[in-house]
Amino acid sequence: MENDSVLTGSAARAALTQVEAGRTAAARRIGTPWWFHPLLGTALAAMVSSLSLRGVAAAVVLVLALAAQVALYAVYRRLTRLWVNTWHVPEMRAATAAASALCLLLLGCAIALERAGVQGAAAVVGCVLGVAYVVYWRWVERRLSTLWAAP
Amino acid sequence: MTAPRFDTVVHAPLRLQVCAMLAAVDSAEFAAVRDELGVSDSVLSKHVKVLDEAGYLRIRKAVVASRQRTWLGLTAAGRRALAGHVAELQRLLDPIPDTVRQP
Repeated sequence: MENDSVLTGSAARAALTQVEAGRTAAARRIGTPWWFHPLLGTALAAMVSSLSLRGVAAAVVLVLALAAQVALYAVYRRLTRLWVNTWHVPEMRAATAAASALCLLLLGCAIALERAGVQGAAAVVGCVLGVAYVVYWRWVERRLSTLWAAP
Repeated sequence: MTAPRFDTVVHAPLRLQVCAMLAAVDSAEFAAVRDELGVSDSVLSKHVKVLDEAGYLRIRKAVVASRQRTWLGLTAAGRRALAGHVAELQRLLDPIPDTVRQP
């Protein structure tokens, strides 16, 4: 490796075109079928809602929701043949942190309310999180496609 | 802000495309990279090996439906190298830094 490059401006421009080509290649694969995020949102909603249930029903819903999520992630890998981590995309880092913090906050509220005896609070929070998940990931896919697409 | 740094390992055109594609994601299947960049297995393997030897790539093999699949991802060093290299390319296109530009 060296730091004294002997590239001309036109060679640098050509190299940046290669970078854009690589990003565009990722953009072409990022899209998911319309049903993918709604199903994952439903699984997430069911997982959180299981906190409102008691006994065997809670365990069954939780296990089924977790299994659905694992299966859907495998489907995602098979469909797109890539795995996205928005934390690695500098332009998305703030949104990723905000969404994660909001998710944890809502989850904490759901647990606190259930423990305080507010029956069904987790089910409501689960539905809110499920819908928010779908909206958020649709936005993420559009944003990434725009970011990575060649100008 | 990443410091501009020319990187000869990353600079080869195909390796630059591979790194740029992998930098956008966490990991991608070898076949997906090959198909998107329109190269053969052997050509991509050669470049993957160079990136791997430089410590810029992590390679993970997984068996799915009795077929072995190879997943590629950039390491932290690889991400830094690409970011520095892109910064250097941009510096070459705009050689006068903002800090010394006259109003």
